[in-house]
Amino acid sequence: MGRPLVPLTQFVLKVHSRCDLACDHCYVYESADQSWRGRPMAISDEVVARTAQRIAEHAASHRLPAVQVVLHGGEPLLAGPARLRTVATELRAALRGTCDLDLRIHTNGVLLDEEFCELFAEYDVRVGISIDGDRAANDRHRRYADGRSSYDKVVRAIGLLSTDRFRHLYAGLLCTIDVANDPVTVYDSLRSLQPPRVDFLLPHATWETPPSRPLGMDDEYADWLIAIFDRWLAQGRPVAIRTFESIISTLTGGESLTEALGLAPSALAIVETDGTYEQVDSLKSAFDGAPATGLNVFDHSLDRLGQHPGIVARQQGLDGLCQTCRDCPVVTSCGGGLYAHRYRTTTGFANPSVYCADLLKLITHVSDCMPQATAGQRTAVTHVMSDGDFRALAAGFGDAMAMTQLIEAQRSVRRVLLGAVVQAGSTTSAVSDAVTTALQTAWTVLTAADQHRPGVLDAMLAHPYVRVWAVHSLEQLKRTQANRGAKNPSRGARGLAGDLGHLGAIAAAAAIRAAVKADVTIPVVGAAVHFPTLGRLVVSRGSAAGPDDGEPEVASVVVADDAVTVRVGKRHWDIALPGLLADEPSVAENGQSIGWQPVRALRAPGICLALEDTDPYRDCYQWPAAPRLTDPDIARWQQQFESAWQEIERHHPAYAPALAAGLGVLMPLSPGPQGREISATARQAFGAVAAALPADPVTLALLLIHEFQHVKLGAILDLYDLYDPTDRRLFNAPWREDPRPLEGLLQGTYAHLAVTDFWRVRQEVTAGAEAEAAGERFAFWRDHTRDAIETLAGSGSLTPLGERFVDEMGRSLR
Amino acid sequence: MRSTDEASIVISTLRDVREVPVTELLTLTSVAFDEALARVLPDSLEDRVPVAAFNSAI
Repeated sequence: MGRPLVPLTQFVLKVHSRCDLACDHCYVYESADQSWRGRPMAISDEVVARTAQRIAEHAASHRLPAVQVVLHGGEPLLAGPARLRTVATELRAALRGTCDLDLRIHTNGVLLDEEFCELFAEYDVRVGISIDGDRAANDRHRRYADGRSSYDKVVRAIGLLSTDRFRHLYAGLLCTIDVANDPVTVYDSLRSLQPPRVDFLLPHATWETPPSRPLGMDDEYADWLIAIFDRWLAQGRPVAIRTFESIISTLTGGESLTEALGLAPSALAIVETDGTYEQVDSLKSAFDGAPATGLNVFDHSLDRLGQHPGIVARQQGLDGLCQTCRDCPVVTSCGGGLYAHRYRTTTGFANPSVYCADLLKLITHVSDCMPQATAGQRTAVTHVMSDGDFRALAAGFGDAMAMTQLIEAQRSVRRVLLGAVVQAGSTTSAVSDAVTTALQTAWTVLTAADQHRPGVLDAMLAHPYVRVWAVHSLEQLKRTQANRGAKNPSRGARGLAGDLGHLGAIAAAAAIRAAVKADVTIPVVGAAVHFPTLGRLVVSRGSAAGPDDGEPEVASVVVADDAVTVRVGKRHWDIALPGLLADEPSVAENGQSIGWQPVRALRAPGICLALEDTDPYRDCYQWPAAPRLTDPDIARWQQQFESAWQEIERHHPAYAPALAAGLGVLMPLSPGPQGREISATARQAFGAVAAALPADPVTLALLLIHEFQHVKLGAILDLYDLYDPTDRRLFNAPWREDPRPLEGLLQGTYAHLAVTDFWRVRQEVTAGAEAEAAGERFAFWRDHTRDAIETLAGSGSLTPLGERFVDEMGRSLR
Repeated sequence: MRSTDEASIVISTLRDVREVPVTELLTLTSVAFDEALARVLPDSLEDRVPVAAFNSAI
């Protein structure tokens, strides 16, 4: 065909061809195509096995990181638990080690019981359910053949999925639209079932069999959806609605999230109960035989299916649309609607959708409601870097301007992470109402502080351990929602409460910096109430451990004009604000002064950074954080830091500007074993280096230069793909016994560029035995780093940009 | 964002959201979040909706 094959990544596996309901709007049984009549009722073991093999060979051939398989029908639960177990077992076994498998089932729900749910939990099968709204709405179409309502059974099934045991399996709800139903009532009823995700489907129709329009208007379906959209938006988008999110995504240059909208190529294939491959299911509504391909799993590969004209036709993007669609202002969001809805006998699928007017009105309305989406954002603005700065960073250096570009990109990363935490924390069902309320209160304070003093938000986000907190919180949200492996589910929830509650701490610190009033709750962690970037208030004599204690106790914190009042139980403390910001707070507890512990600073000409021994998320390295430093400890650190900085500026000036611009935090580590010099960076803690106080300033200078290379490369990797992330091979690093993944080798090599350079300079600026020792180290690291660069270059896994990066690294060594 | 000759710049896919007002940060699309999260948390997207997903399942 002369065009690249688009790999198929979504597979709908028909495990049963019949249904126990008789919904009169069903596209399988009530449409033009009646091929179901000739299909076996249930899928056979042979078809299952062969399908699993075909998917695995396709995934391996195209190096797919993941595929999705949806068990479907008819009604898939009619296949019974035993057969579904066979299906899940075959699929998981076939794909294990090849790619990730997102396995789902979509059902009418009437047969769903604990036995099925236990099976789905065992095989991690996500469950989606069809329901059209409240009882009255659902009963319009979704009935048994004898007219009985299915509503109670479906709601019971959804209730089972909503329990703590099975909540992680609950994929969401699909609602087929009937404009005779009140949209807000439908929406509210679906929301009451607490789905993580919902979608509203336009009933299948074509120009030959147009949809019902009771009012005779060509935009009734738009008005129906708009009523829901407006309510959903006003409520702060409390549940994911796929249609709306797809439109919003495409309005801002992103991909469409459903085959029913947008220009993204279809990567979908259907496998029927007899192993026949079909094109997309919805084609059944067009004409008899419309989805047929003439191919099957026994005789034909999925690559062969991918070349079928019907499959290819749905991968053409703009080129596959009629002129009317191509000329339409909303074509990138609409994409001509669902392919099947374009059908007309005379012109085939080369038409606008039979829902054209609805889609135009809906998308235009969404666009009008989303100001950011309409601010010239057809193509999303992304970060860029000058080629010169990229090459300088690749060579192991990079001046203040280059560093600034990395820092600016981190602002976007952190804003997105913060937004993701607030969104996920507000919509995840595993989060209690109290925690959600506290989270949203903290968010309100944070936005108010930033509005009052622009830049306060970014200043708070710039703290390296705020990003660590955000990433940790997102991972905790995912784990808690999945409820995996927790013998005591409430333990995870308590830890999550503490993590999400930390936004209150960030907000309080922002309010203090912005001089705005605030009233928030902050978790008590490690016997202290934390104010990130400022310090912590120790409220009891308990241990100063980290946030994993998961304590549920919270402090009430009120920021007023001149003081911060902290209440924990019956105790309260008043912290005078002017002194707090000047590192000299007056703290009174019920009249007695006690434990305010400020964040202290290390200073040298041209650089100032925080010596962070208070933040509850700082303990994110392979070495343990040091406890609170004493004043003599601080003095030793200051003295050595000044000397180290002097050493860097004098003998290693190429590194100084980037360090001065980008190093914001030094986190003291506990002393290493047997006096070993230890230091570390953390991928998520941009701007921070952790180190135990080394023996001398030259060693500290080397540690800072070495570790900051990791900081720089982490930020570069946040911006650019330098290698294939699906390559899971391990590579030999000359300086380690254990082989490393590609990123690990790249990180080590990049850091040792600077280490090699450091010893080259030491050899030149010292004399005698010291110079000789430096020369040996220079040769050692030069040779090892050169070998590692060759390994990277020959890995076959670097992107073209990665090849340029590694090439510059190599030039730097010559 | 600096306006420079495209040939002398290296373009990232990381969206620039520095100028998004804080009050509108939560209206960023799930795709914008997903793209950024995919760069910093490669394993974070197990629950994401696939592109052009099958209409009759969720």
